[in-house]
Amino acid sequence: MNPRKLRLRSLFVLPIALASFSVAAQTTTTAPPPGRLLASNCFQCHGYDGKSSIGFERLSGESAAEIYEELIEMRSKSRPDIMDMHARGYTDAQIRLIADYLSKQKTTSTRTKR
Amino acid sequence: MKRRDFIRLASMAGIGASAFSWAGIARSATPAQLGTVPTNTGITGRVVVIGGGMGGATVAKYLRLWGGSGVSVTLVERETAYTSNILSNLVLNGQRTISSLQYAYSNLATRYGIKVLKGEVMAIDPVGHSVALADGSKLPYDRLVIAPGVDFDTFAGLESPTAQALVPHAWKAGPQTTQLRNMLLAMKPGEVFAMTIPAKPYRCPPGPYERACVVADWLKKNRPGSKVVILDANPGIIAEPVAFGNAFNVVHQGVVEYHPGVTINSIDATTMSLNTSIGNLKAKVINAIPPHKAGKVVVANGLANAGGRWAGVDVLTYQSTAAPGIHIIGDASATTQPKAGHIANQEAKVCADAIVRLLAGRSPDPSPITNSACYSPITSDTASWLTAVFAYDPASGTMLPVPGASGEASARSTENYKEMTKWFNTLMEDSFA
Repeated sequence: MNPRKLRLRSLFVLPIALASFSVAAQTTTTAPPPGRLLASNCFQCHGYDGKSSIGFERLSGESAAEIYEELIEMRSKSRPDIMDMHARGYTDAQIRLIADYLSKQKTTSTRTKR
Repeated sequence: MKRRDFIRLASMAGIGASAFSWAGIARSATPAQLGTVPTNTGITGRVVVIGGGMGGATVAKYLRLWGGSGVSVTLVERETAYTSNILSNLVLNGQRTISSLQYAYSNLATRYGIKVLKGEVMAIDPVGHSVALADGSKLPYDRLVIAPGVDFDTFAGLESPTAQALVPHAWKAGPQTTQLRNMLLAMKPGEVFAMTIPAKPYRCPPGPYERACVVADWLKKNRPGSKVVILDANPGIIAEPVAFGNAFNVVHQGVVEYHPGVTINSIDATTMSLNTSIGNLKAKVINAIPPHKAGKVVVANGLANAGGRWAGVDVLTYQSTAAPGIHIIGDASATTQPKAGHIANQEAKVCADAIVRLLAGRSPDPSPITNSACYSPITSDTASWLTAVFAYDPASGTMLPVPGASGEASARSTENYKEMTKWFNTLMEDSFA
């Protein structure tokens, strides 16, 4: 192999190695799950990750489709109660993210709906 | 015997920490339901939190739940327990006790590994990144969160501690709440309870109107012929105008006298009289709620850069616009959101999420949402509600109410009153359990 070419290649390798190192430093941690911060708006009344046993309806254990449909339905109630009003604060895409996040939170005890 | 029954008996017998709320202790979620601190996030950092109220407790808890065990969190608080302002108006009519509103910090320490320090902050070094405490110790930090709540101006005439002691604001739940309850009990039929409402922004927009309703309802039943005279600095009812308008004009008609747009010139505690822009008023009880500003630690450390009264923040992170690395959440910050416990809890989550991302070298969530919700008692068994959702607006850099997603109950109801207790219990669980 041409020694000059080799030298060039090794010059190239260093910055690439540095770049990949800094990328690695960033990716050793996992990104927060999508929808988690949005879904945390539910926790005040429905408990951490929707798992409350003392408050309003428990959300974890429901499917994403169930949560999504319930929230969408609430938005069109003509005499809104507090949750019907609240559901109007989120776009379809945001509701989908919330529903997806909550549906992935495993229930840990007998499901009691209140 | 079921565990729940045992705990209830134990708390009735006075065993167990007195600082626990009966509601929190008698019915609580399992540790698995409350969440556990992950050990494998790879995120590290030191965060100091000043103030253990709704915002401070929540941010400490979620920094651990979302950041993991590598994020060390130290919570500095001067009290041994938090006394909830929410529902504290129900101490005035005897439906609640102060101890039923108290929450210890032990859950935060044992369940989430938060270092809880009882102490007083002396100074913040924003360059050296450390907090000095009154006992001489120093707490280094990578990120500092301040959640000190509010402080109050002093009315002309109430400069002396003696005068102040006769005119409680009872706007921080605690001894003054009990004092105001006792002043109410000492009233005779036909006497006047006068209260002042400061110009906004102040803590809990519906709170003073709610208090007027609770007091009027109690007076009507227990001290007939007595009146609640409201002197409001605002041009009209600033929260739940339908519910409170109906309460003042219909439900508590003849008991509540509402005066908007009133300036308080001075208060004389010896004669129990108020000098106001609509004349002089003498009362048996004066409950004067002064104008608010950010808690002392914010003002003293040069962080009150919004009109000298509130802390300017970037609402994507709640980072101070005066000092990098310092975040200010809850009532003390200058935002477009209301100053109240429920939304302080949500601001705390936005802040915790942002700090965790920043510690991991990421950018904060570019489009946070926050929500405010509350129930207000109108009588001893009916309540109304209020809710609003706020979304980040990149153009103004502020949290704007989502159109069509704010509103109040169409009417008070007993169902709302029951939901109020549920709401309170889960909100406190989310913050302190």
